Amino acid sequence: MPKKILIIEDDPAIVVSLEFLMLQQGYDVQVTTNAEEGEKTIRQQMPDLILLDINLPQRSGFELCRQLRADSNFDQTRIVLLTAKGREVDYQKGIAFGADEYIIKPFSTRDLVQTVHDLLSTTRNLI
Amino acid sequence: MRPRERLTFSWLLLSFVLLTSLAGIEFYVFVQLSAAQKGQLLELLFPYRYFILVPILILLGLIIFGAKWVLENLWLPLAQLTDEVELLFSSRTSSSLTSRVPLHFQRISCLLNEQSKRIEKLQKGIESKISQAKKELEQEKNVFAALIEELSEGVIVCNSSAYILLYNKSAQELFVDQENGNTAENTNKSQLGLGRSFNTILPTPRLKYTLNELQERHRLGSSHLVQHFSTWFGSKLLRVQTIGILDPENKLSGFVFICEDLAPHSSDYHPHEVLELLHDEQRRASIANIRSSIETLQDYPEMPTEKYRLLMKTIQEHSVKLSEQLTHNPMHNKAELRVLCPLELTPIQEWLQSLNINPERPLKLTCIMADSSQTWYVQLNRYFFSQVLEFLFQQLHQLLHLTQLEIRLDRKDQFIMLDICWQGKELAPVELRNWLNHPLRSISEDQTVNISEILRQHDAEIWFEGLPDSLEHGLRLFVPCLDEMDPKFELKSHINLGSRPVFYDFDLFHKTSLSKKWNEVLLTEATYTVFDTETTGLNPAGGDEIISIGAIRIVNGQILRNETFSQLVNPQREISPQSFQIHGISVEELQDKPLISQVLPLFHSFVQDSILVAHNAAFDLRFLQMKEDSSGLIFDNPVLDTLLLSAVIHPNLDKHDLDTLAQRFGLDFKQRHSAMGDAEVTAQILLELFPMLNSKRINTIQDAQSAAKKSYYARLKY
Repeated sequence: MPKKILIIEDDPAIVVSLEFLMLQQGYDVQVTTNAEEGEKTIRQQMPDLILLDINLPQRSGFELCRQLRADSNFDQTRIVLLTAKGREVDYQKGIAFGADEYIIKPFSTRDLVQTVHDLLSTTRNLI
Repeated sequence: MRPRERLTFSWLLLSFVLLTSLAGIEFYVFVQLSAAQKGQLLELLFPYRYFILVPILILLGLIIFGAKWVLENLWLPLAQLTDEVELLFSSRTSSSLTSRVPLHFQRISCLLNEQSKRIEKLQKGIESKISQAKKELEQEKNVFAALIEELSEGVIVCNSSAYILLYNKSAQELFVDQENGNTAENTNKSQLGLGRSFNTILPTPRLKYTLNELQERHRLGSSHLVQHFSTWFGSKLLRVQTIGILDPENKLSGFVFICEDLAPHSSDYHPHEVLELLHDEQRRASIANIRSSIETLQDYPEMPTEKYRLLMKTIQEHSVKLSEQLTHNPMHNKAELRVLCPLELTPIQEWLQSLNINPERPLKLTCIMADSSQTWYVQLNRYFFSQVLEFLFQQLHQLLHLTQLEIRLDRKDQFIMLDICWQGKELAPVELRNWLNHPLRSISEDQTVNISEILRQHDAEIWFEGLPDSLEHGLRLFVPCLDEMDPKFELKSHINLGSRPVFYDFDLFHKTSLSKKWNEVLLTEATYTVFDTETTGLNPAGGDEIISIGAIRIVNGQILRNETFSQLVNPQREISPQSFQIHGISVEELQDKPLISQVLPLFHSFVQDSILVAHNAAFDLRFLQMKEDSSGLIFDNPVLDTLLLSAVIHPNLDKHDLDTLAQRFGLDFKQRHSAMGDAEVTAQILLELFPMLNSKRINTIQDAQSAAKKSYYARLKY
């Protein structure tokens, strides 16, 4: 059973490569372009990992991340924040909201694939 | 009434009283007699009538003319001598008694002159010592002034009511209102002036907010009395740093404003802005797209053609986008917001306490701090962030009909959690989203900034927190917290006068009279604009016009020779030969000068917040009043007239014209019958009159106005 990955990203340009890369790694990939739709998909599909953009229309990735972490159903769901917000304060915010990784654009796709692989092969420590 | 007229009147009255009393007594005695006694008396006296009447008339004549002689030769010279003695001992200039005095008083006059010379000698000795001490103090002040003068930033020092006490050259240059086209010649074109209100010069709500905020912080015992704001002044974008000044008793005695024009730099990037460019999120996204596409292409060369094309397209599109971004400089708006909404280190608990005091707010706030022993600092723009909170309170009150809110403050790692909690209905997420787009009061009319932008500027997040089965709900504001304070922060938190060298001792700080009502202000503490006009003729109602206005300011008893107003005016009519003979200004000279309609608004603004002073003010004011309808400008400042004040001081001296007063006080005219020259001498006369008025217990503006009204000259009308 392949691991499920959900990409929530409103920039179609990066979705092309992200989706392709994750599919090539043998994951089951789904894509949504906003947080509302993303939340619905998460509740229905229960993905193992979410590649979540922060700058989304209407509701930010920070907010969705925070909400998911407040819900114990998603304790084991890995959240990787993908963002162009490159400052220390944004990184701190991402970690405070419960992201497992905070990846700043531009990033190496090879490193991203490795990070996703590492995260999915371990269990989330809740303490 | 003039002295001589008063003398004649007194003499006539005395004679009349004498004659009527004598006649009355005789008549009374006569009517008391019986008819027989009256007949006997008349019969007895009639043969001797001439012997009785002639001596009586001679005696009466002697008494009446004797009285006249006494009044003219003793009373009047003595009254004049008294005025002169008063002048002799109160004037700062060297003078001696000149009145013609009767022979038997000449010894007194000589003694007084000798005494006056002795006092003058003593005074000179004291003055030379004072002057020496002043010189030393002046040197120290000059060092300080030179230091301030050298600063590239504009420095303005105000008292606690925001009235200007000191400013440097850079500040003077910053506050020139180029847009209103100040046309006055030889005039201080800057709007700054000692004793003027900084609030009037920079009428932005940001300034008022900042001053209230610093006063409130000081009241609450905070020593952090520094705040920044940015605002537009004409075409200039000013960044103003405001620092509270504490006196040795720890009272807030004034403010220092350090102003810098940011506009010249707005087209350039500072080094830190270049770094900011690298952080630009759009660029990062484009680079990320290009990089991930290239790497995918490298790693999977055998990918389907359709995918290959899509990735190539991404590379091409985002390379173009990146180039465009570099050309069009998209950081500009962001940089501008950072300039307009500067953040400063703020102790959040203290800020919340100051926010709590708002009597107009319909909601009751209760603040609960998780840890009151520690001060948490955040980077905040109080002006905008307070607006955000006030807006949220207002919306919660209106939408959910709340009357009470609880503010809870806690810290999680590097962030402050500011929770606005209530009991009752929950808030729909869509409402909060709409609120975030709400525009806030900004620093200029054509520029708005919304809550969401302000939150982003603060790196803050906001969300609704509520459990479906709970009655308690809340909005959580998540604001980055600073771990350690900047060491410079404490140093620049306020200025303490007690810790400065002695040359920093400005008496002006303690003067609060500027904020008092005019009539209560002491003569020596008021701010004056002394002015004079030259005109085409003497009849304002008959169409004569102003051709020149000259004015100079007096603040705290000092004539400010660099704060003057001097302007020739084109009257658009002929000048009468008599007037030309006086001032020597010809119509040709005035051809290219501005019209009175252009000059009056500038003059009106120059005299703002001051008492108008003129010699024979009724004449000059009449000309200004004649223009009230056409210009819409009303000169309703309180007025003092040096002519009337001189008559109050020396009611027994005949002459009070400008030349006589100048001579009396030993003053020289730079240019007699020029508006500026006459205004300057009038200003000096006013200062000479102050000690004399004080000796007559005329201390305030109201005292002076009431005394002047009673003066004979106050009856003059134009």
